[in-house]
Amino acid sequence: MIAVQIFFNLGHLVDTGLYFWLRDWQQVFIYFFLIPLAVVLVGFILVMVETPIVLVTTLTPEETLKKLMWIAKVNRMGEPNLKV
Amino acid sequence: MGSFGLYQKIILTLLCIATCLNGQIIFIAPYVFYEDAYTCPSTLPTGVSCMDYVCSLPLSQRATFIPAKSMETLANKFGDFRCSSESGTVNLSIMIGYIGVIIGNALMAISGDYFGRKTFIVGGLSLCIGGLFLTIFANHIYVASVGMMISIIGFQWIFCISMTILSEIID
Repeated sequence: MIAVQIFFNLGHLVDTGLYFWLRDWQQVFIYFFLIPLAVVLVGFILVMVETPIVLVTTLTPEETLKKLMWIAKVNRMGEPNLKV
Repeated sequence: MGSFGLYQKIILTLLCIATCLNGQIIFIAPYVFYEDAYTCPSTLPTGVSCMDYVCSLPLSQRATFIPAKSMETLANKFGDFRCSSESGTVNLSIMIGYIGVIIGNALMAISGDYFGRKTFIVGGLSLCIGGLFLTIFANHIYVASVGMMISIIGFQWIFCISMTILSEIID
């Protein structure tokens, strides 16, 4: 959480740099906002599954297990011995 | 699943990038609404500032006092808002953008637990991208500010929900 807060303040610092190095607001919006946001959006869609509490409260046990297996696979933990 | 494996690191990295962009957009107003000060000849009466002199003229006569643009900004795109008679437009535009902070936080507070975390992240990022497109291709300064408001709503969703996600996926 501290890392996230640090990056929030780092964003203010990047703004200051933009004043000096990039003097066109449309370029700033496209290269410093739209493209990174699109990359982050694709990253979240491809990688993220719901958090465990949402999985447990909203999905069936089979669906939850399937998504937890995906996280285990990303974390290179092999096939955990989990059964519903 | 691993308390801090590759999955958690990827999510943390993506959240850090999104939060950095949020920090940028929150303080971008002085950049996008910047306008260079008027330049006047040195023959002005003593005690009269260049700003006061030019602003006493009708809008149509002020163009000769506008210097060459030092940077391309949103305000420069839509006209001359330097004098107090026109600066209200810029002030209102900035305010419209920051209303997004209130709306974003209020919506998150009301509905944060009714939908999944991923829904809010993906929805927030989509709002950001849509709002920024609207701002870039706006044909009026108020349309641009509404675009910024929409994008700030999305950023607030991401910022608020990122804390929840981190607390739920990292031991």
